[in-house]
Amino acid sequence: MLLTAVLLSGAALLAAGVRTLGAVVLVSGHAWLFFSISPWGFRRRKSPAPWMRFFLKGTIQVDTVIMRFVDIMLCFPSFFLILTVVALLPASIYTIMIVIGLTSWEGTARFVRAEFLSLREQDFVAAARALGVGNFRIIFRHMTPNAIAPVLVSATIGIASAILTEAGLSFLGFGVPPPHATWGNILSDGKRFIFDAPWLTFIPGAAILLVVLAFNLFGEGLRDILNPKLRQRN
Amino acid sequence: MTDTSSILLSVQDLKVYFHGEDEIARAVDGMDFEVRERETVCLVGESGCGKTVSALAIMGLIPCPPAEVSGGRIIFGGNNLLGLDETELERIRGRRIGMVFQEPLTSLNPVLTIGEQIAEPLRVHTSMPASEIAQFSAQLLQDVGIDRPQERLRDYPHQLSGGQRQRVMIAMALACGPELIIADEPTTALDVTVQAQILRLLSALQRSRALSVLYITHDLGVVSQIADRVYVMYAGIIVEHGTVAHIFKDPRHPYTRALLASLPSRKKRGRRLYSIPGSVPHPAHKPPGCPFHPRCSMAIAACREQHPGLCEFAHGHTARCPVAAGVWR
Repeated sequence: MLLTAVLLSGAALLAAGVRTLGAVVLVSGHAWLFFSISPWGFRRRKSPAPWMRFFLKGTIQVDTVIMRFVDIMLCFPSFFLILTVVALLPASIYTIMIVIGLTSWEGTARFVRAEFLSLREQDFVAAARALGVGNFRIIFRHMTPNAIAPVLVSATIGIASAILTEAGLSFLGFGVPPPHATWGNILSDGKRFIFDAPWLTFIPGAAILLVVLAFNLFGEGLRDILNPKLRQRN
Repeated sequence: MTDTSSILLSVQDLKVYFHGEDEIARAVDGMDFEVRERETVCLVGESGCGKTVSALAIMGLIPCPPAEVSGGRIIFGGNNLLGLDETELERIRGRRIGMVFQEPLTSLNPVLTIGEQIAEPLRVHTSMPASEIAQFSAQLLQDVGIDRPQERLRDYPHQLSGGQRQRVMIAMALACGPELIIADEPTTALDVTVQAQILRLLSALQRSRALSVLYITHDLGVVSQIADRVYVMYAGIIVEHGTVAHIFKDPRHPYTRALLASLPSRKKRGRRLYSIPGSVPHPAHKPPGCPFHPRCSMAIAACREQHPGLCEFAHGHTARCPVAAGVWR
């Protein structure tokens, strides 16, 4: 039981980790691209200088390409995509991890992009530029710390949803293959004996509930800790 | 200030245009001014006359597009800043020109400590080792009049008052020992007592560090306290330039006169304050000729047609009003 919990949390953590890291890298990267090329955002205008127009086109395309890709990814019903992929690929715990990770990063990506778009217009970014700080440093040292707190919070909640997805998959028999025990497996094994031995389903179910709840509460707590306004003076 | 001291910053015929949907807003339209070493120069004007835009143009921070520096030269320490690329500008910003912004509340990063933020220009521009940076930052805070600097370095911006935050901003601008500080209405967001403290601090620092200060404000009271020379701006051009004595004792341009007339004073107690009729023209729809003529009590027919040239009234005192000089009749 303990082993299962550890294993499962590990898997979910990794999945969530992969997706958050991916999202942050991707979005920071593309934020850097359009930030560096058109420093103060792209508002619509009629007659910029010819070379500027060229760059401007470029920047909008970089952002557009990534965000439309995100839109496409969001169109897939992820649970069924996972079912399909798991059916086609050899089932192993790593496949499950990667598939859950690859199908749940879009929300975070959108979120980080929106954060960066609003942070870019803040006065302290202008002040940092006036101090001669370069674009790269502004993004990673001045803007990312402002964007990272909400991302971490959404990541912990993402862990909870990844655990739930895995439990759902295992319950249907598409999850982590038998030699490894997961809560979803145990649940589906126990359901045959639900009237004779209800604890077989009740205990793993309660465990899932507790862990998911714990991660959600952890996210809440993390948000309070990361907010310097609520932090105690040391 | 003597005329023999050398010129640090010289802005010549600067033009900054904003390109809108179907019109061009000429925010700064042919501006000339200069800042000499160790002097405080004030740029005065109403909201929207192009003060901040010209300061941002000097720093190379004009949002481009939609704005565009369409002409002119900005000579700083022998280099034309408009001809430099972004990397070269980054080496000047913060190191040789410091800037203090209007809003101390939002100009500091809320998630970094004061210490980290003061260290930022030192990390970017110097190769000072980390141990010295902490010590130097504390010294900077001490210099701008913040008590117990070691403790303040660990604070976050929200733990400081508005005046303290503006002092931190000044410390950041001073960190690398710049030759010029551009202060863009640094006291507008502060209350009057704090404003007086910040002004005293700026003039003390200016003397002790041999700085030049370009002070941008709309407050003539502040100007009379700190300035050596004054440039009065209206609708993107300089309309009058002179020493504080010239501007306050012997104003020549009708706009400067009207501005001074609208200041409250003890003599005008109980009477209704003067206000200039009309409003500042929109930068995209400026009247032809002198931009001030629709509101001017001295306007004649020629003002509507010809752009007024600079007329010299005394040594170092010029105004863009040929009517007042008696050239146009």
